[in-house]
Amino acid sequence: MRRRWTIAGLARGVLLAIALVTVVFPFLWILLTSLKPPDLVARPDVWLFAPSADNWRDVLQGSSVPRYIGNSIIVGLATVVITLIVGCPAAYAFSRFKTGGGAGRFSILAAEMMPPAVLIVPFFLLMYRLALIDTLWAVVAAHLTFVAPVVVWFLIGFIDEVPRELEEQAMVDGYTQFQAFYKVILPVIRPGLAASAIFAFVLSWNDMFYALILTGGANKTLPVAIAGYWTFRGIEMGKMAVAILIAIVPVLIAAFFVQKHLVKGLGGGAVKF
Amino acid sequence: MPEVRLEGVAKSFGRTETLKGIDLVIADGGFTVLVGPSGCGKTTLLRLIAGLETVSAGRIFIGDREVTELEPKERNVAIVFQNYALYPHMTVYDNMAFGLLPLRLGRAEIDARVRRTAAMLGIDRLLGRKPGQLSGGQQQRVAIGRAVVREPNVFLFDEPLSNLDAKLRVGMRTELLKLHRELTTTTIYVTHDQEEAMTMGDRIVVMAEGAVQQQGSPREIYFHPVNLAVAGLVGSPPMNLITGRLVAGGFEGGGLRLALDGGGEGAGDGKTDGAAVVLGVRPEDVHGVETLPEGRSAGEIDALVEVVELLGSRAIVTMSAGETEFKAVVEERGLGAFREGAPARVAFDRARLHLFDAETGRRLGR
Repeated sequence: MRRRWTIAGLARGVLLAIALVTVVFPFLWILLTSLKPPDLVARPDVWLFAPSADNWRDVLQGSSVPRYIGNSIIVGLATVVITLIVGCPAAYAFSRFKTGGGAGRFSILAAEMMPPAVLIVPFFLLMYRLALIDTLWAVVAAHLTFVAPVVVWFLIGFIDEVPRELEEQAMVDGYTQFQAFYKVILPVIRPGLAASAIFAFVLSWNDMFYALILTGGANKTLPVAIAGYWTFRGIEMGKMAVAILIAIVPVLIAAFFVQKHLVKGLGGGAVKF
Repeated sequence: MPEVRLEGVAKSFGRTETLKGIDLVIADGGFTVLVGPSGCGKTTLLRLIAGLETVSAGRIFIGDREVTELEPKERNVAIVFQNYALYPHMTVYDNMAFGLLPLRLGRAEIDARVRRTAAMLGIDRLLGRKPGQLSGGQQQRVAIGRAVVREPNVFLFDEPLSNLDAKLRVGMRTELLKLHRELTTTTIYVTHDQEEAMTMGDRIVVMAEGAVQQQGSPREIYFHPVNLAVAGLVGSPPMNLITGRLVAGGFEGGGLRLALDGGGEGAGDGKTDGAAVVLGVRPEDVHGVETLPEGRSAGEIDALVEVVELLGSRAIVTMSAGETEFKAVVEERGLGAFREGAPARVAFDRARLHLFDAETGRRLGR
């Protein structure tokens, strides 16, 4: 069938094109900046140039950014692991035993709604007392405050969807409830676990606020390092662009894999399908 | 195979009393069906026996062993749920073997048992598949196989056939019964479908409002319902119930006047004239006057035929007389006497009338 061009179709196309350009343009611009030779970095009007690897070399070989990337990965993984170890049983309890009733379930998200600034001073003092200031553990602890609740919320949604009979069957078949939980429920919600893990990692990976205040020096994370290119001599745009790209790419890949589950997870805790 | 015994078992959820002191003995090796309307507590009773709920009061025994406080896994029962509850991440083989692992039987024994059971149920070719790749009927077989393979003391079935289409359901009924004849494992089967209960149970327990209303063979339940709840539940189409009162020599109500065996008072269990009663007559006990044997008529009724529903060899005829509407089940060859919109002369078989106390619902007489 021949495609009909209608006014509405055209308008929709134009709107989508505008949206696409708006979204893609900043990324493109950062990519171009990262490839510009140092003398052209401050010239946004120049679009045609011989690409240079100088910025990339400087960042990856001549700076501590690889170390900060490593820090971010360690913090992210630690956050994910602790979140899942604590979050799975918590979500199971909320889902199956209705712990705290309906209010309990929603109060999980209350932690999410608190402005981080409320927590940071007590947190700083706590870490100071524990002599954990400027360690990755301080950052992990801080990240758990906002990552764990979201993940628990997600997991509740996934566990709610698993029929109760599945674990009851296992219990009649000779297993304890805890065995039923980790031999039946956890494998069944594996896609949800994977999505939650990736999401948790991204939340941790993206945080700058806590990491900036709780660390400095060698234990910085990547976002803090990016901000570090804003120096008293001005912004080192080219190197910053490289660091930004390094920070963005894993997130984009993750989003690609989990977008379907994310929507499901966000809705699942609140709405029964 | 042990019997299952319940002594004064009660269960409340919050303030809702779901089961009110159930005393019940489930025969050793028998096929007992718990039947009742939804919300009558039959599934709760099954879950209590499985140990998935804890009793609020009373004791449960399986054989000589009291299991009231035991975990489900310690009771050696197997359950088949309505939704089958197959583990979606495991193959059919693993689904069946999963319940054997805690028994520590050894790999060879587990393998032998799984394959033997699968062959018995005709699912041996599906062992490598995941539940998502099976049809509803196949999933049903796997669920049953998973119960059978463990060789438990008691089988618990919770409406296992209601997710199947009608044709498959009738087939599975027969298969379940054959399986039971073979294994003779004590079986408790919950259903809301009275037809399923009648055809499958060698013993039926009728429940309503959290209490056992009647237990007995399908015949007893059908021909001698002890109260209105049982009378109304069992039978399809259900028993015709007519509210009225006893009068000298018979029954009067709904614009009908009928003779009763032994007169009004005799039939009424000591009730006197004027007592409020409900008269019950099964649709197959409503006959055209010519077809009813001599002396069995409770009085001729001039009725108007409203609807005739042909089922094949039989038809359900809905008719009205006085203020009463009732149904009859008529053989197809006797259908000539019943034309929609036309009058018909019918009579109730007086030997088969049921009389209930209108106030308590209890059966009166016999």
